[in-house]
Amino acid sequence: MAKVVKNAGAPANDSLLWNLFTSVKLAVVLIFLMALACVLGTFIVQDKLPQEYVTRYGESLASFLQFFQLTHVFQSHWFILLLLMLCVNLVCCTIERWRGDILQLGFVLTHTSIILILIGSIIGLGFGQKGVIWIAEGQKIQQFTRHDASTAPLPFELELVKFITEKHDPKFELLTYIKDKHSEKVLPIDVRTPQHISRSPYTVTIKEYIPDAALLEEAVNNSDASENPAVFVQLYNSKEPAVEGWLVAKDRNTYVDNKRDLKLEYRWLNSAEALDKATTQTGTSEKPTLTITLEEKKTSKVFPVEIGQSVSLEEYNVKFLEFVLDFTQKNLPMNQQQLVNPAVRIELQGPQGTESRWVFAYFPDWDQMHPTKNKGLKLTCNVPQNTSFVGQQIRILHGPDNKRLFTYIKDDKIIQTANWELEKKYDIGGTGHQLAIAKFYPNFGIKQSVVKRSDALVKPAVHVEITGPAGTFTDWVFADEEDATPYTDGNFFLLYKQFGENIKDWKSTLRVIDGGEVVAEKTIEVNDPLKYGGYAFYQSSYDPENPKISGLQVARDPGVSLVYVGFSTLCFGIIFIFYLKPLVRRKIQTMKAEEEK
Amino acid sequence: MGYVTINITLVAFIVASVAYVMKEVWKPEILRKGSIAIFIVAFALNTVLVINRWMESGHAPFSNLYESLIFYAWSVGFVYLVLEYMYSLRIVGALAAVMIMLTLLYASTSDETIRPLMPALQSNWLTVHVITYFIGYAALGISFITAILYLIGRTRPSGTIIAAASGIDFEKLSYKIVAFGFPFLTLGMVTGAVWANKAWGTYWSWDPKETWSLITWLIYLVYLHSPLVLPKLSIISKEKRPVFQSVCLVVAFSAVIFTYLGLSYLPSASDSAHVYQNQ
Ligand code: HEM
Repeated sequence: MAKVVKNAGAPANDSLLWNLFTSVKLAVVLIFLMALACVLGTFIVQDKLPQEYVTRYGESLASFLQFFQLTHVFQSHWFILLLLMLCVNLVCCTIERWRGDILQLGFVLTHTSIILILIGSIIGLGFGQKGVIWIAEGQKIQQFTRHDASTAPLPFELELVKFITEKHDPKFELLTYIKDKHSEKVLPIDVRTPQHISRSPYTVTIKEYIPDAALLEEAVNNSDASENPAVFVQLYNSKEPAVEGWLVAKDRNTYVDNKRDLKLEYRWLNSAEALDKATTQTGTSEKPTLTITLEEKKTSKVFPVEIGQSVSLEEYNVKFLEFVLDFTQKNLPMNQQQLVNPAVRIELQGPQGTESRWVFAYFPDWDQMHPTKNKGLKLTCNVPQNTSFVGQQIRILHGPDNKRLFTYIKDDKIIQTANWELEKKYDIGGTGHQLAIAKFYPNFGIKQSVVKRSDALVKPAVHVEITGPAGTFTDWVFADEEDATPYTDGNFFLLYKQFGENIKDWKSTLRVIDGGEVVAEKTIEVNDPLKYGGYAFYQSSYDPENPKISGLQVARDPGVSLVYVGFSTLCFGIIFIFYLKPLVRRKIQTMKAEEEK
Repeated sequence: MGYVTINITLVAFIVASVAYVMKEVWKPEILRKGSIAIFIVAFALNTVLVINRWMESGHAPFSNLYESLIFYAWSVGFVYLVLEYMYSLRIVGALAAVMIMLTLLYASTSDETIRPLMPALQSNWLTVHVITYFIGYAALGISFITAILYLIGRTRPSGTIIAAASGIDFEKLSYKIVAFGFPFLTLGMVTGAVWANKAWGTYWSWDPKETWSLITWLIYLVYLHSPLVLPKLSIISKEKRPVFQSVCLVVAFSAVIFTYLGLSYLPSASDSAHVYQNQ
């Protein structure tokens, strides 16, 4: 290396330069330097924002790296200079030593191939283009996005005719977890053999395994004592499908149907007075309220939530947009309706701008944990148990001595009162609705059973028995349940979950439209691109939020064929040097020996 | 199933290794062919392991660390047998068997769950790419063994005894073995580039795995050119040249191992598409 520097500093001298560039010593030095550059390029993270280098390496080291372009080794000027010198070196070296000897064929081919590959890649860098396309089914597009986020035009139109995602059959694994040891283990589905979890007091026995299980919940009557009275209610209407379900007096006793603007309620009353009062009472339901607190001014005010209305406090203005009883699952069927996580959506206008927010009744700090425009105010939502926004109500009443009544209330007025019997249909006012109470269970309960099911949704379940310090515990564990199943002592858990890559392939049917005509059409998938007009389109990803959007890579690389020629030459040259040359040499030697004879 | 076979295979390679050493030291008549026979039995068991895995998972067995390790072990066995036939490696077989054994031992500690292939891996180019690379890596692994044997021979009398007893010039043998393996290494790199171009439209993206396989290739290139350069360097005496070359091979194979197994230790590894998922 020292010698190289000396030569470079010497006055221009053709023969010196020629000597330098024809020397294999220089080649080895250059190859070694290239390897060193590559090592640096992997030990120093590449192509990140300047700020990241400062946080990672500190101020002074970061500016050092930046100065020597060590943050972009493979695009740096000195790396490209290295490649160019190697190229010149190769050309000179090969020319000088070429004697037209067949035994040198491999040597010439390998060295030429490196030059071809380098030229090809330079053409690709100079005249090629690369980028991505996000395209929805049915969409036509005439541009793509480069990696620096700028857009570039395509000389033709590209249409996504169809996009499909193929999935593998899901695979599941049963995991055990011991909390105090943080240890996780996969449990083989080995039915009936007790499996001891090593170095722990727990043993798990899989008693039954159903590869396609469903949990069946069946309503049952446990006794004739009125311990948990419930009615099975049906609502008919000529226009819409019937709704039906159990209303249980003790807990889930209301059903709100926003579409019908109707609330159903079932009340169990144990005295004649209470029954009388419930029959004549008209008040529908309490409204939820929103409290706005201005923390700095220490003022706060409570407003009733009226959808569509606006309220204001000081410089803030709030419009109520939407109210849901359960934020996670809006619009639940009758059997599942409960106040799980009620929330109100508002539009908030304040000095820092206008924004839309959810305010959760049972999660008052949510907006503190998420970025919002307007700070300095706190919003809380209070939701009474019997909240609803409907104008009509049917109250099913059940009193002592088997008295059965129902009232129909509209706009706080009792419109209709009647007795009810099981399995009869009653017309409600002039509404077109019909009410029937099909079943009555004095002591309502739910029996769960696990059954095989035949529909396409495959979801296995195992019936497990866990023994440990807190005795024996048995339960069904279903695949892909959100929560792990805990053992009695709260330290040992089972989780049955899906694992592995479940995408098998993505396929996009693409159409190229040029001058108003379809000129090419192909269904591409990963490893099988569509090529047209010098451009190639590769299937690369999909949008997990929208299964109809396909992610493509676009590449135009006019240098790639030269690179491929280089690749072939390289492979052939090297095979020649190491496998064919010894054979050729032997052949020549035997020929020479024969000649001499 | 895999667990049992892997353990039996491990034991078979240990037996083969012991047989090779005994053959060199005592030269009993039955071990003249017997040691190779034991090695072939062990290799056959390893083959069963690979084929079994291939059929169980339904794809060529190199999609995770466990699969690739048992396949690498197989490749070393295969290349050893080929080279044994070509150059008569003798005592090298003992160390090849140890190398295979260590690889299988590592495999037995890694996760052997079969997982479906991600879309980009479902390509015939993958099969060609990995097979050529592993044949290359296997040969280079054996050249690593011969380079070590050469260095031992230089520094320790026991090593000289081995060399003298086996009558092998380990320095020349190393060069021949690299000459056998280097074309496969090159083919592996080229097919990898072709496959990447088919899958993503880029034949080279300076991904850490790509960069490190280039580094490995460049080091072997230095080694291959070194006979041309070393005679011209007056600082390295004629006797020191083979030492330099053997050290070069040790460094080069360390780079191979790093490329294969060590990339997750790189700060840039999280950006790579190549690092084994369940390492
Ligand atoms: C970077 C890519 C390079 C590759 C892949 C490569 C490959 C090879 C190989 C495999 C051989 C061995 C041939 C044999 O043993 O017959 C060889 C020989 C040789 N290389 Fe390179 N080489 C490269 C760079 C260079 C450079 C830059 C030079 C220029 C100075 C050079 C000069 C030589 C010479 C002079 C020989 C001996 C040829 C002979 O006399 O038969 N190599 N090259």
